[in-house]
Amino acid sequence: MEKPSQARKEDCPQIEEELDAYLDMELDDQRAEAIEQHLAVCGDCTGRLEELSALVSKLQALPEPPLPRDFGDLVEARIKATEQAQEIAPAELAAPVQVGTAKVFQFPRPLLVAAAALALVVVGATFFGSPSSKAPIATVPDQSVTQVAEKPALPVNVPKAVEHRQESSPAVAEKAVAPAPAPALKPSDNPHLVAQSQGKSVPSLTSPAPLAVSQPAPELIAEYDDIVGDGIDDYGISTNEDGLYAIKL
Amino acid sequence: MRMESTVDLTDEALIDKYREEQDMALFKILVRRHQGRVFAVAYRLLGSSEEAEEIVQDCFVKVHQNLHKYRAHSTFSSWLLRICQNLCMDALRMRHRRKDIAAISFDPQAQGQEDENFGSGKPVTQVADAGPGPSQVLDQEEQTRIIEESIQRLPENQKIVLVLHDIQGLSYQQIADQVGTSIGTVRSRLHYGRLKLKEILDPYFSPENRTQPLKSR
Repeated sequence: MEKPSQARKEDCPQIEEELDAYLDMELDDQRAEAIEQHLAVCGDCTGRLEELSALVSKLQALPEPPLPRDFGDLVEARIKATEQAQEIAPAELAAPVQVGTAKVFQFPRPLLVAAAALALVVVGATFFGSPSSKAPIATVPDQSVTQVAEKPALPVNVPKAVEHRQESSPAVAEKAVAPAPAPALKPSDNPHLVAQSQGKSVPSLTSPAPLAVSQPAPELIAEYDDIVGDGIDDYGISTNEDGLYAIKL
Repeated sequence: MRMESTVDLTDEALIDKYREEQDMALFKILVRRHQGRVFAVAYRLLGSSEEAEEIVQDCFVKVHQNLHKYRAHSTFSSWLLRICQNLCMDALRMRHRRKDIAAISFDPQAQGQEDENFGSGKPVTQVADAGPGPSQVLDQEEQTRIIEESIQRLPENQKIVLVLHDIQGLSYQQIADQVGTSIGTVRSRLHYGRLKLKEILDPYFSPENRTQPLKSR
């Protein structure tokens, strides 16, 4: 057995590293005994062990952080929401998917293909379709529609089409419900108004003159959707079965 | 009546029963039984009550999703704790990415101990105390706050081992299993973690400093 006078200071670094395990009773008996022998003669290492013991005591005495709430119901709600989302998710909805920190909208592949095909058909029909194969349809030119919209008698209550949108997208509905912004009309912008102001005769909206084909403004479509009976007759505008707007000739 | 009997069941028995009956009330018993410990570990590792609350919820949702993978060869609490620890590690990594903080790994023997350089910072052998100066008299609440803040300044790998051992009372072997490392590494991380914590706390708790209002550094 090592005598106290024979304690070697060069052992201290090794002993110091093992003091934690010794304190935690994680050393085997042989090493624990060797450390006890060293501690018996080494005041420095004994002091270190006391400091270490005091530190660990402080940590162990830390109060348990108070639980801010009961998580039982919260966890249950999260689990149910997750399960519901998994049931609905892939086929029907373009659910946002968490990719890293960003949310990405993923559409099912068949929907994308169908949408692309539909877009091709619409574009093809618009640009390459034979006019003779369809009923004569002339879409309202922008300027004429603008003139129509200028009339204040248009109702501003929520159209059906808008109501339908409102369910799915409040932001869109809000935009559509709001009265369509009256276009800032200046006579100089509109050849009809310019001509009228100059006392010239202008072709009526229902004249057989060829009309430029263009798409009506979306907010005006929303307004026309709501017009029943008289409203459309007043302007000579109707829709065909494809939902396109036309002026009666 | 059923609830009175089920609360006495072991975790493993509760899980078996939940698998059979799919009764959420049984799972909630598990949640309520372990939420305190999960919250405590998350709070100690993250140092934020809000983040710890998120971790508790994420942890039990994950447990529920993976309950079919749980096998009784390990205790439910250690499995749960491992999930909690992994979530906390993810949260800490995210936090580092967001704030672009370079973590400092304290290791006096850094040259030969690559394992201790776990994390993202360069190892240093001297740690300066950048915290507030020590006060003469610390009440219990203040003392708790200082220790908690000091723990947050430890490198992540040392913090995990220290929290799991000194606060949660896990053995070296349990921690090694939990963290996926060797007992030797656990011992080493605990040693250097305590060393650094002691150095941080010394200005507050060493007897000579208690008589001096401030120690100039």
